[in-house]
Amino acid sequence: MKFIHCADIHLGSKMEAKLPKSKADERKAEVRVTFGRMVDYAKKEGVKAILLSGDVFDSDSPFKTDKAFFYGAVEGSPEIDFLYLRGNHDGSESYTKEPSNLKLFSEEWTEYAYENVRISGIELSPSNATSLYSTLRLEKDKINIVMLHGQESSSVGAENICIHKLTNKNIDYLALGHIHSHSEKRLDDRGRYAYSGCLEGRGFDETGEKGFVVLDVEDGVKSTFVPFASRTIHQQKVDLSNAQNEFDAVEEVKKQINFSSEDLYRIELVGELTFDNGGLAETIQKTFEGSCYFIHVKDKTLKKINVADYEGDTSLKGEFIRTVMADSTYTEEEKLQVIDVGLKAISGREVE
Amino acid sequence: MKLISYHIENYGKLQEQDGTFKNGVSCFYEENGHGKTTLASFIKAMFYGLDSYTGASKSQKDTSLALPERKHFYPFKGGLYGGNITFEKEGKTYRIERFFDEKSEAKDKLTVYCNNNETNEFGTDVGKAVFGVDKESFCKTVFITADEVNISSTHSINEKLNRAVETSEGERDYEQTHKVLSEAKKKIKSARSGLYFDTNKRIGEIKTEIHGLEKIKNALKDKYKERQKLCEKQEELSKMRDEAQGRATLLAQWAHYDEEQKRVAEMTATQKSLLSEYPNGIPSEDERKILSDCLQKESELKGILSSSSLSAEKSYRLQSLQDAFPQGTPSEGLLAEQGDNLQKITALETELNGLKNTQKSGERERLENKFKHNPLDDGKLHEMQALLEKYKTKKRECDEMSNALLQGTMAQEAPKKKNNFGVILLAIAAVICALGVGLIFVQKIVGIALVCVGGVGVVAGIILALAGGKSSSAPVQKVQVNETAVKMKSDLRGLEDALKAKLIPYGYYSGNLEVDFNNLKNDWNTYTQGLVEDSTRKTQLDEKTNAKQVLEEKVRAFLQNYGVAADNLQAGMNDLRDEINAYKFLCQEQRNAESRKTQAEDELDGLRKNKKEILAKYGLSEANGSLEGIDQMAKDSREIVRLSDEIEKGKANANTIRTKHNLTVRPEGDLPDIALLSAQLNGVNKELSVLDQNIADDENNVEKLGDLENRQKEEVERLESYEARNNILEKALQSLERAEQNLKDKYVKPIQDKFAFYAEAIGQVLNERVEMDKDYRIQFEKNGQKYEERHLSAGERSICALCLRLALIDNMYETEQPFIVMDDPFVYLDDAHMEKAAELVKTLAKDRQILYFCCNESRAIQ
Repeated sequence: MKFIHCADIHLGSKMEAKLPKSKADERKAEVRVTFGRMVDYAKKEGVKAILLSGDVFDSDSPFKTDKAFFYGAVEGSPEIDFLYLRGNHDGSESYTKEPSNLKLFSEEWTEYAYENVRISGIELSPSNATSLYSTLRLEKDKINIVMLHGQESSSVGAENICIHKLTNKNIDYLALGHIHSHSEKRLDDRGRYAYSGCLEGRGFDETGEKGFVVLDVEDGVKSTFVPFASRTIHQQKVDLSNAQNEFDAVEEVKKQINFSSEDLYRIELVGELTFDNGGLAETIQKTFEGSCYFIHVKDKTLKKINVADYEGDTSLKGEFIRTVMADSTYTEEEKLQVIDVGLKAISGREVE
Repeated sequence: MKLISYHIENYGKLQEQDGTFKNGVSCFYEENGHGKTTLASFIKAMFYGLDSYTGASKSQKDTSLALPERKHFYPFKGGLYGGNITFEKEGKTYRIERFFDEKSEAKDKLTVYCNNNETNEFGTDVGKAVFGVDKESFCKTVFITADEVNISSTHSINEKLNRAVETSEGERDYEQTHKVLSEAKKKIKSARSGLYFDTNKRIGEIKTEIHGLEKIKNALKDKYKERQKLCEKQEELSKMRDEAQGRATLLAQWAHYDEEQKRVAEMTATQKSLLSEYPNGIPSEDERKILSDCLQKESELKGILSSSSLSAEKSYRLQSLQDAFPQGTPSEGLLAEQGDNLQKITALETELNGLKNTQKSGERERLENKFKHNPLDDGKLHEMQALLEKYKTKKRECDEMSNALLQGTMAQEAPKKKNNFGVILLAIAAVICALGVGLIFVQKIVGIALVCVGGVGVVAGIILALAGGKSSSAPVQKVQVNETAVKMKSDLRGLEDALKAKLIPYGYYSGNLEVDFNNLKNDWNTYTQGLVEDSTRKTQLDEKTNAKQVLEEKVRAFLQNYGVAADNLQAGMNDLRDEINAYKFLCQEQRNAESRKTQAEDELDGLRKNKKEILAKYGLSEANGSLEGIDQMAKDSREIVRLSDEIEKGKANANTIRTKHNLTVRPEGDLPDIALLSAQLNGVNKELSVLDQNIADDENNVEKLGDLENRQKEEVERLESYEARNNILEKALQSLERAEQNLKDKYVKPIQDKFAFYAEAIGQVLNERVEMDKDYRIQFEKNGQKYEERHLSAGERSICALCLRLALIDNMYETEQPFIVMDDPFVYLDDAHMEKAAELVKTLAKDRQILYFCCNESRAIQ
């Protein structure tokens, strides 16, 4: 018997700030489309139920469009059960329909049975944050899957899941939601716990592969992460300290990043440059715009200053550098920035 | 460092002069013209040399009065130009010997001795080596004159002061740099403008917009609740309406069932009523068919009986034909005989037409015209034949004679051309004449005129022909023609003319008389043969016409026997045949009608018997046997059957309705007002629709929240970057200011302190607060405003200059102070300040050597 464990769909969520509006809208649509594709996948693979471990919607007052889409997908797939455990974002969903194949949870443990598989879940709240661990009762001879939404923690709390309190509870698989990256760890001798991560990354704080987990249940639970996002978001620092000029810098980026035309990239240029940086970020942005779906280049490089070169300089320039370097209230980065701007001003160049 | 002695070979007005210098102040007080400035210049020249000059030097051009020093101090009396000077530095005694060329520094001779030993320790630039500064700087420091009041530093001085604060090319100085950074900072952040301000303003605007959308978003929750309520109300009303509609449907189904039952009952009653009309039943369909057939047959037979005799028209026709053929119609043999006659008539008509239409040929018409108007007979033809024979004989004789003559007498002479003009004219005239003769029968006058013209022409032609014959035959050498030949020729011409006169009227005039005659003869034969043919044809025409008339009379007589009178015999024969056929047809028709009548009367009797039997069987009247009665029976029969079917169907329908809708118990109570419920539901639906639209609009707006928040985030990031940039610029400015202050503290302050010290020593000459920049430019502050030193009085400036020089010297030479040359520097000081200056010089002289030159006793320092 197969199940899908997914979470944090965040239908209706806004997208990464740097995306232009047209692409942001496209990405919003892709979030829905990917969810639809996952349902199709489930149909094709004969999945019995999709376990939604919270935050299906981005808001507790989801938009009609998103609700219509979600409930449409549920109603259009009567052969699949949707086990919908609400998270911290879609806590008080006000528009709820209850099609027969949509199975809900509450602030008390609720259990659904599929042959010898028992799927239990509880929606975290201040009132059950402490008690939920002791009230969980699972039969030893069943295959037990537990759904929760919250932050993995060593302590209890309304938004925390105290992992060690769930050990030795006959859990075979703890299907968690809240963290947007996939991870799976051992829970105890019997079971494991996993965050499925979100289906689509929405910004540069959600980088890497996104998808869902397929649970193949026979004697036990075999989990397989399925990367399923339309696009992958990458964030990478590129150290340009060795570049001698803009051309070298572009080549360095090319060397360090293998661009995919479907993906989104944020590139942070770092390092101390030996050459004058006149719009390096724009150059790299323009160079690689055609190589990917979206690119944002952030220039955090600094002009390399060799203070020793100015030791014997008795001019204003030398004195300025010595003065800055001697100022203990400045951070090292600030010192370089102050020197950079100061030297530009003294050298007769434009200061922006 | 101090000067010990000097020796001047020649320098300006000084020559062979030796002198020594003491420690402390050496005052050289002499009136003008004694060589004080010359000695000062000599001292400087020993250390730094004299600049070369060529012609009008630069300085000469600049100041017309000032001469180059090398020229100015060139010995008045000539001789070796230069000398030596001995000084002590760092415990060693040096002597510099310099002898100058008149113009070129390159030709100068320089020798330096250290402790009486020649040395190259100072190189060629001895002054720079000894004092550490160039000549200009030397003049601005240790060599003090009244003229040099320029208060500033030099690169060399700066170097000596161990600093290089001057800006390189393209670099900004402190003020410029400060301005650039300040402006950049201002561009980013100022009180009411700049990037920071604009961004902050935008953030404020976005926040306001977000706030508005947040309000809408929050309000959406209430709208969702309201929608939920409306949905519930909608569901309730919908349920009530559905229930009411269900009841209404059930009632309608019961009504349908009742209606069906009622219909069955009505049909049963109708059927019963119909059956009561036929106590012995209704005749079967076959029986009804017999009755119906009987009626139809009766009708048909009545028709046959009524149409058994010929119509009046046909009877009259038959009668008239019987009258026309009292003995019966003619036999086919007779008819065939008359047909043959008609064919023969037709053939004869064809032949006659052929004979009548025979056309004469064009040739015959031409010959008829020719010989009709100018008749010819065999006599005339024989006459012309005889003339032709004579002519031919005569011509042969003439030819033989001519040949004999020509061969005998003019064997060597080539035959001459004959002049034919006369012959041609003769021929033309003959033609005209012939035409005239021909036209006389048509146009008499024209014909006569042409004959006359032709006659004249013939005469003229004959004359010309004869003349031509004579002239043409007249050779260069005359030939004698005998009289016989002439006569023969004349006869020949006469025959020729006579024959032509006979031929030409018939139109034959080719010139060849034999040919013309033969043509005439042939034409005449053709003409006479045609006349014979015409006569034969006329005979045939008459015979055939007679035969045709006989045949026509026979046929006409035959037709008249049967009353057919026709001009066209063929049409008459056709009419006769038509009449015979019509007669035969009508006779046959009359016989057929009589036969049918007998047969119909027998059939009618049989049918009437059957009909009576059937009506009697069912106790029906004769009226029932009528067509209407039979139709009614058929209708009634069908209706009874139909009603039976309908009754069965109606019963089945009623059962189906009851079973299908499970109609067991009739609903009781009043039916709710469905229209009202529908109206209420519509109202809720509309309300919901409006609310949905409202929600959709709000959601569309709220969807912008994400974008706005992103924009806000971006703007905040931008603001932070501006803040950071502003911070960096601020720190850069602060660092720049501190660097500037450091420079001042390090390099300027000691000078400034010393300057203040010396100024104090000289006295409070400067009432205002004096400041000094890094280039040692002096500024003073008056009434809160800063002024440059050039706004000071000459005395004040000279004091400032002196103080600065002393300050610079103190800082430049920290270990060993150099001697100071003062060439009457206090000329601008009043007595009070002069006194203080003298005290200062004395004070200074405690630890350094001062050579003081002046030209006035009041400024002498002892």
